[in-house]
Amino acid sequence: MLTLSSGPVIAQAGTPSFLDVDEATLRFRHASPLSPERHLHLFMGSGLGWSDFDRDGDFDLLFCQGAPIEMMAAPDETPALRLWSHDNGRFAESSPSAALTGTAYANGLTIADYDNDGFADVFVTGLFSAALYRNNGDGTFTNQTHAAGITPHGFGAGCCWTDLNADGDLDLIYVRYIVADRKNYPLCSVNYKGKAVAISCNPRKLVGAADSVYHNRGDGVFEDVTAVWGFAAALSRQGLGCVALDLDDNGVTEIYVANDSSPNDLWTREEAGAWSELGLIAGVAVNRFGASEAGMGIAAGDMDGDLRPELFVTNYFNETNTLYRNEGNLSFLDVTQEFGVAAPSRNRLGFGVTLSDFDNDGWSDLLIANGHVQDQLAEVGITNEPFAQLSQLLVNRQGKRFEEASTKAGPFFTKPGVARGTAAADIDGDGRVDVAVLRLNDRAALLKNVTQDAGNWLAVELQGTTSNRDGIGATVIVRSGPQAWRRDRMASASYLSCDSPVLHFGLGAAKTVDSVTVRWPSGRHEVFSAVAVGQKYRFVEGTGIPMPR
Amino acid sequence: MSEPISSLAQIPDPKPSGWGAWCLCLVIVAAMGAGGGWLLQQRWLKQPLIQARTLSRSNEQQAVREYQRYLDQHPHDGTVRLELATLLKRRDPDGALHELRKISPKDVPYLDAVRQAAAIALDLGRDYDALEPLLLLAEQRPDDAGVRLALAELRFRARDFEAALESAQRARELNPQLPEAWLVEAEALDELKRSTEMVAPLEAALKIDGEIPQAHLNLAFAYQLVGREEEAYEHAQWFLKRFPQSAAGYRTLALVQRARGLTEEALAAVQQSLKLRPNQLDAMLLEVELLLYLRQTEEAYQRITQAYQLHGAERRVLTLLVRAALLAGHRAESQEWQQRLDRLQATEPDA
Repeated sequence: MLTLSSGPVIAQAGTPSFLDVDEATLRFRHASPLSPERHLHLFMGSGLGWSDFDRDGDFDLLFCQGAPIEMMAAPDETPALRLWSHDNGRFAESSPSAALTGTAYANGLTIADYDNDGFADVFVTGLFSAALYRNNGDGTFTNQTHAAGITPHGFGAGCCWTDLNADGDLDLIYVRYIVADRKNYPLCSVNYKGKAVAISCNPRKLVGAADSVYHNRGDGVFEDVTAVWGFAAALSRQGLGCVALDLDDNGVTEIYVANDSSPNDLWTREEAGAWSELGLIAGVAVNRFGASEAGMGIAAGDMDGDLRPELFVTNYFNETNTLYRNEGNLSFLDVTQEFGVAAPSRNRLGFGVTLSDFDNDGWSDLLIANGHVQDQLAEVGITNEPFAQLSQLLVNRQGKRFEEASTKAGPFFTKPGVARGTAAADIDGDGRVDVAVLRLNDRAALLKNVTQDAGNWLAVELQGTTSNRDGIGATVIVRSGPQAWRRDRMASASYLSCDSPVLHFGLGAAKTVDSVTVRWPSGRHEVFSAVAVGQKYRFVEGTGIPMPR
Repeated sequence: MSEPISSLAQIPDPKPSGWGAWCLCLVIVAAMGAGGGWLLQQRWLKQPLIQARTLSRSNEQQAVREYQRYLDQHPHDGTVRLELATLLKRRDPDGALHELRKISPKDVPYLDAVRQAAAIALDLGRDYDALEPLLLLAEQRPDDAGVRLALAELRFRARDFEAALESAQRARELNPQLPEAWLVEAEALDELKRSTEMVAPLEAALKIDGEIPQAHLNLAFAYQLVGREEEAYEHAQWFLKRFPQSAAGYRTLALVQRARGLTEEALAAVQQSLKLRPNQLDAMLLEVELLLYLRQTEEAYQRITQAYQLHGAERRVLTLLVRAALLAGHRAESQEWQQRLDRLQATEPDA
């Protein structure tokens, strides 16, 4: 059993509540000691992800590890990953024999079975580094980066697996942040009262780096299609978070990238096959005032119950986080103010964000990880923007607006920290979604969901046959009477992170499920029935039969 | 009932962030008017000049002549020259300044003369002329709250908001009972895009004087920014009860209602504001945002088109034009507006 660090469970009925597990249960500590020069990457931190890498039925936790600045001089092209295997409530760090041996500063990851062999693989970005790890299925991984034709370079950020051309093989989006290299690393300082104070550079004043798109040929080799598929046509921007899902229900996946201090990108495939960037016209590039914001993390999913996924982007201090309501036909509207998410975010700097129905009331809530990118603002006379900040829980009120419920959500939300990536999984199978939070240069938090009187739920795992094996890109709709809920299978979420592959549905008071419809990335629409609430199922493409897990 | 003060009729300049633009800048004009007054609280009457002083109450022109005759004989009597300047300042402020400049730093009332000169320059709106005497006073009398407040106002008008904030904070430290100092601090914070921090100084100002209308309205604005919507509503209501014809009041109420999740009520409030004063850009934009939220897209497109005709190609207008056109189904027009916005962005990128 997971051990809770804060004594007996005292959860408020009807309000999502979490307790942080103790250090004996999960000891991972992120390493990002700040340099005297305040190198930017040491503040941007890292992500994390859930997957059952060894297929023992428990979700394991994979962390992107940081590195001290001295390591930047070491020409390692392999970012540092740390795998903590989960076995019956305890997490233990995997031995080096797992072959996750990189030492470069790791930033973001995306987890999926890219070779369709039944085992979850990993792509990880890092500082001037990246790696494709193939899961050998025996507890070890093989670094396939060069064999696969992937070229690590630049300041890596978000990444996501998705099938861009519906051929059943997962392609790869590799997002980069700013133009920098070991010899030309931007350093900044401000002069305050005659004294130079080192600060992390404002990305608005730096040059955004180009992203890469790799096509999976299906034979273990990837080809760089950035230019030929049209992705090089847009401006290079300061990319961070990245998600891929079908936003307009036309069967084609869109790619959304949060850019720091420049307009966010929305990529969609035209009928002719080329990809176009439509962020501005779609209304998700800038906020309602036409201003670009400091995009960090992304949550994508239906927040107002109309079965269309919204986009929520975390932003900088004194900006708001921004909620874009999906109006259909790849058109969005900034409804940040109307949904009540503006005020709670003005005095926070948001990074990770997890969208999940934590109390199973049928409406997806938001957990937001906050923390500044400057630790010395007080030394330049700015005393109102703390480095360590409180993370937040916003509860969805019937799809009309969000209300902050942080003070009732557990001790984690009362202690300031410098939080970055977040990743969700129901790690003990109790039907309540738990969350892991990576904190910069600090111990990771694992928030056990202890919500009392949570509603009914359903958990769905997909297995593609014609589609990619993980079913990434699929849309699942659960119906019960007049109610319906939607989830999209993605291989990336939040800030540089990845949720568990299981789609969790809070069903509120619904006691039965009429049907579950899966729109597979292959284009197949499949209805599964005879599904009970309070259960986890695997749906295999083409079978039409739900398999209890 | 008309607007409480003239600045209510003003629409603030648009700001890139958008939400900071909503601060109504209500207090600064009222506080500015007090600037000279604060400087002149000290009095310096000293030596008798019976005839001139008696005349000054009945016949100013003759009194001036008597003062000047006396000063011709006693050119170094700074105290009397200061009296003359005081007499002149309302009718002939330039003449007053001329007399004040003749007072030597060696004269006893020199600092009072400097203070008087700064006050006159402020009253004349000659901020540049006021700055040097104020800086001298601040140096010589570092604990003078009035001087700090006047400096704060001066720097605010010069759009040096950091310095204005520093001076206002010093003024209210020296005299916490100065509501104007708290009000200028709030305004400076808003201009510095620290609008959420306006709450504390506005609360402090109202604690000193609970009847400052502008402080109530600005506090309603600030409260809705930080998620204290119910208190925001109370302050907006307080203001509107006293100024039921205030367009700014209804505009603020609309923001508050939106923050409370009451979008229909917000729309009604902003439309009331526009009835009272049509063509306010901020109110028009808010109305369009609410119409779009409520999916009244065609009406939103018409309204934002009107705003464009009235106010031209401003970033916020074009951004909403793109959205409204698209959501109303005018895709080609939306793309045209987007091209215009792109051209604007190319010449005026984000701050």
